[in-house]
Amino acid sequence: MQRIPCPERDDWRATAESVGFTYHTIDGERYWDERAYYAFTLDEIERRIEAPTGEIEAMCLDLVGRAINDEKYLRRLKIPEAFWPLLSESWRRRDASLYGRLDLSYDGWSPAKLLEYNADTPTSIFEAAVFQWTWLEQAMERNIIPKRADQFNSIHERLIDTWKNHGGAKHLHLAGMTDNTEDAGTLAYLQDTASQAGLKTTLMDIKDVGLAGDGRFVDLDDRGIELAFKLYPWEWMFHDAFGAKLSSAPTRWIEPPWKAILSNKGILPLLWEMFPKHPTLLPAYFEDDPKAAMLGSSFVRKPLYSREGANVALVSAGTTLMEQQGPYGAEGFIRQALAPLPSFSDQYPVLGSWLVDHTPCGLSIREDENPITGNTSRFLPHAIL
Amino acid sequence: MADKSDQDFGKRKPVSVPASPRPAPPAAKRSGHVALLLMGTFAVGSAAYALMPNRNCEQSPNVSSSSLQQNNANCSSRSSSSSGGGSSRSSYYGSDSSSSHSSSGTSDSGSHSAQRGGFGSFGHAVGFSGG
Repeated sequence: MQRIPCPERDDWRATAESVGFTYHTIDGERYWDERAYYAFTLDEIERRIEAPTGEIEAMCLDLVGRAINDEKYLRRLKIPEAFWPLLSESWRRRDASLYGRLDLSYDGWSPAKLLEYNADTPTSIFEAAVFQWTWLEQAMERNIIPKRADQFNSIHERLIDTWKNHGGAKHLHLAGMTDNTEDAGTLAYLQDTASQAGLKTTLMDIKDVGLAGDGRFVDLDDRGIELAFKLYPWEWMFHDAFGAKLSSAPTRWIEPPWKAILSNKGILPLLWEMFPKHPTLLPAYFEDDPKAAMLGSSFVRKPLYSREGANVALVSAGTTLMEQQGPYGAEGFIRQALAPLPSFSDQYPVLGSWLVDHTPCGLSIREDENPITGNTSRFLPHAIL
Repeated sequence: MADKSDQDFGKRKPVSVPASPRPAPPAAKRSGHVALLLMGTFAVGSAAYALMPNRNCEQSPNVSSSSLQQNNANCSSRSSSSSGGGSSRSSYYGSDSSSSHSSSGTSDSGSHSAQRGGFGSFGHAVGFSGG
């Protein structure tokens, strides 16, 4: 794994905007950054990233199966009891997952370590699947990178294939917070891939989802929502006014309700408990577990529910070195062993390892001057050399 | 979605790790061109959503992959109760929040019979949902 500075394409902004990637620059700061790229060998990709990603996904599915059959797990994850039947029914019905992203720490030498699993509402998939690939093609054409370069990236094709398995006759509604540019971009991209798979689609704001008198969720045309992709976390849906209607409404959701288990940071101590000393896991404990003391005075503190690094604190030798502010933490915290991100040219990269239909199929990289990746971290492309 | 057998779903599967060193030349991780059907023909994001908030799209049958870059989907749109706002990614703390929504409680706007606004209130208070 290397970080290689390179010239940027002089027309990349226009290229980005031509495909709808309008959030390449945020508040005047680069979000997409191609002044450098990360290079991997194929062996690194396959043995150090792809295989561990599949292994972690398998462990996570194992965990969900246990949690569904043992309420002790759901209680430890602070999932409201009213929604346990919703989760267990979706699991037993085998409601399918579309995608997810594991965030990994990898230094090029040691085994990749799971930092967290964005299992419910991962974003940055358009950049990973499309714009990163466009960079690779154009960078090879323009001799910015070697012509033999490749990329770990079949996200786009796998999304289309996975949508096809839903059956082309179904109407898919996609709902999220459309006044957020990044979320709207993610929804538009997933709508695009679903359309290419032959599904009829409707994109709508999550607040426009209606509740009909017969208990069905409906769109703005009062058409029943049979299958819905939601870019809106399950824990927020549980909290919202219509949350109480989720169990009785016939809508099938993507990601499915059982993903509420895996999007919870509490899976980190549960995985460590189930698979102690697994090479891809970091020691982790619930904060109220006396075993948390085994981590000593250096650890990362994470709320059970958190997005974009919010309320994550990095504690070293008892001192909080860094903490992202945010609204989370009421449900409790976990502590994970401190595994400082590797530094490449004074930048801290986090690897996003993408799964579509449980299959590892792509890589994205966010880097920051700050060792906690947040919503201002930059997206850099990668290549296999 | 994938039709998984009872034996497969939710079970750990063996992960095949290729032997090293690999004798074969690198296999391409990507097989073909990335084509977009809708994006690029519409703007994306809040401004676009304000113009075309309720996009109903149906792909034409027998569309060829070579023509996917063109706007060959049949999409209709109409106004709704959504209001888009100028946006960048938001922070939790409100100073640069892009949300112009204020969904509190439910209403029956946009429909004669359905209640609306029952989802989104928590999220709009925070500002973004992805991670």
